[in-house]
Amino acid sequence: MGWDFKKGIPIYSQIIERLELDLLSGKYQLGEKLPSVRDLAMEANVNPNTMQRALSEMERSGLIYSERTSGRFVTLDHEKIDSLRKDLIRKNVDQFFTTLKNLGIKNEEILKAVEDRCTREE
Amino acid sequence: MLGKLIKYDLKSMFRSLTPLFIAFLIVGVLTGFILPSVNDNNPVFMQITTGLLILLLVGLTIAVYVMTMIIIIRRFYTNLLSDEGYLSFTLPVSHFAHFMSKSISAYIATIVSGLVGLVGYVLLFGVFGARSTGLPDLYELFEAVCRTLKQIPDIGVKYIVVFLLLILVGAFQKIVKLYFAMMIGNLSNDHKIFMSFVSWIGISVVESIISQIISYAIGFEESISNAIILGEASGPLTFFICTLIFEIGLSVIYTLSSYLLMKDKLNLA
Amino acid sequence: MAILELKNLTKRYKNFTALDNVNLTLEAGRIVGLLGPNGSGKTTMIKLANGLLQPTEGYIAIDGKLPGVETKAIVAYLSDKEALPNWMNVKELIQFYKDFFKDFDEARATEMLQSLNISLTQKLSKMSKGTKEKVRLILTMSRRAKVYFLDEPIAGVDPAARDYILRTIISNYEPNALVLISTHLIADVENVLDEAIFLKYGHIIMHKNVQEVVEETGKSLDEYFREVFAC
Repeated sequence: MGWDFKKGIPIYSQIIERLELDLLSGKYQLGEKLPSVRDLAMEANVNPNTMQRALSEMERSGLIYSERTSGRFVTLDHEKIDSLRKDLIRKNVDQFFTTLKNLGIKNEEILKAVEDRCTREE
Repeated sequence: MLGKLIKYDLKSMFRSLTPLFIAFLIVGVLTGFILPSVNDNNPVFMQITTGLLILLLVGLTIAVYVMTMIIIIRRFYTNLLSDEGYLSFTLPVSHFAHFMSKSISAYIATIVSGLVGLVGYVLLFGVFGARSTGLPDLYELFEAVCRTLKQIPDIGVKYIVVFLLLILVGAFQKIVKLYFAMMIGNLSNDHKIFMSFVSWIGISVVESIISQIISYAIGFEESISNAIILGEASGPLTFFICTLIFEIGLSVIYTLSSYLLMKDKLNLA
Repeated sequence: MAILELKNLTKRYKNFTALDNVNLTLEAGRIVGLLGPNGSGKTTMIKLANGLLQPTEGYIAIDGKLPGVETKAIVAYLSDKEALPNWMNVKELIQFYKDFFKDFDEARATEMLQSLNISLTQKLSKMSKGTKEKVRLILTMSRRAKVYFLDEPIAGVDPAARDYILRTIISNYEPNALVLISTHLIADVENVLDEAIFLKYGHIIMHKNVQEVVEETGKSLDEYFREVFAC
């Protein structure tokens, strides 16, 4: 029940991560209305204040906006989502890159593996 | 709020008492039916059955009296001093309301129980005419009592009133004495029930010592002999009134002490 | 004004001190965990707040008032004891709460009971332990109180029931109410808490925002607790 959270990392930043993924995966479309703080908190099984904090942060970064009486909505600005996507790709690439480089694997090998993977997909 | 507390107290107590009362009345009525037609000519089995029925009636009479007392104690203990106390004492009612609710509902239960006993025997002796068995019926009994009383000079309504009040106040006093003993027992951590028992005995001893002292001081024995020898009845009346005052005083002391213990020294497990 | 205030609160018994000069202020709109091992003073604090005990020194105030009839009307207490009268059925219990608590929301209670398929005519004595706990929780949380004291709400209950209880606590959240959860099962509740209070031998040794603790220590609240209270 509830979302899976890792230990040792503040819940609110994990919530932000999860919601960003939801935005990218299309669970919430551009301009779509988000569930209320209470509903999201219940879904995630977290304190409503924590959920509120996460949502406020996302408001600050422009991914969502709030309309005083109607609630919170996903941004209509698809550039924001695009840059989020780019950030996610870069973060993931950085991560696996660091892992492999630490083992002494060269860039050419990595690139080839990625290309192979992409061709296999098609 | 007090009314609501009383409502639940009565509900809880009468859940257990009502079946007993009904059983008692039924057996009473049955005995009343059978008794008049029984005599030595009947088959042995009839006589034994009737004997058993009478035994049952006597047993139920004792049961009614004892059970009422037990249920009064149980209600106070369960609702206030056991785990339920965690609910009771977090209700938005004063400690005094709790105490009065228990006392009043216990009093009502006692009165009802007494009335049931009375009704049972009235039905038995009066309505079904135990006349034919040679047992005195209620009317004759009543007449005999009045005749005896009339022999004591200056008997008047005063005596009856004071006597009645004595019974009524006495019943209340006995109830709050039980509660006081239970509140003292509650102070202990490990032996609450045992300590309640011991306290009750202790309080009773003190009570009887004080009442002996008072009756001696007022000269009760003297007044009884005066009444019989000299025909002066004012002595005993004064004594009864003093006893009444004593009982009222005890009721007040027990009520206040229990209330204070409840308010300041509550010790829920 | 703080909705719960402890000032120099001390409770001494003949041979030990349960609470020693405790000072604490809690605001409404928060879910706070009162955490500590057995005997640390958690239950004593809650009993004092409910007027079930009298302090030896200092005081505890709820919405600015000392514990009494007025505070009992705005405090909802879920004790760790089974305090409900066993002879009543669910319908009678609802009537009981309605009779004594002005802030009792009957519709909410009925709705929650229905969603759990708990029949109104069921007697408490015939229920399983888990169902009884849920009924107690539902009755307590259906009050629109200002302060909720939940003493070990999830101990001795199966995981599914635990989830239900935590979800109910979250869904019941009111910005003008305080929820104080006393428990030793920290891992289960830490995501639901705003603040955590560590209580040790009658002293408050920590009172912090949970996210702060996690950020500062890089550990979960549960792990940090174990570290702090390691024997």
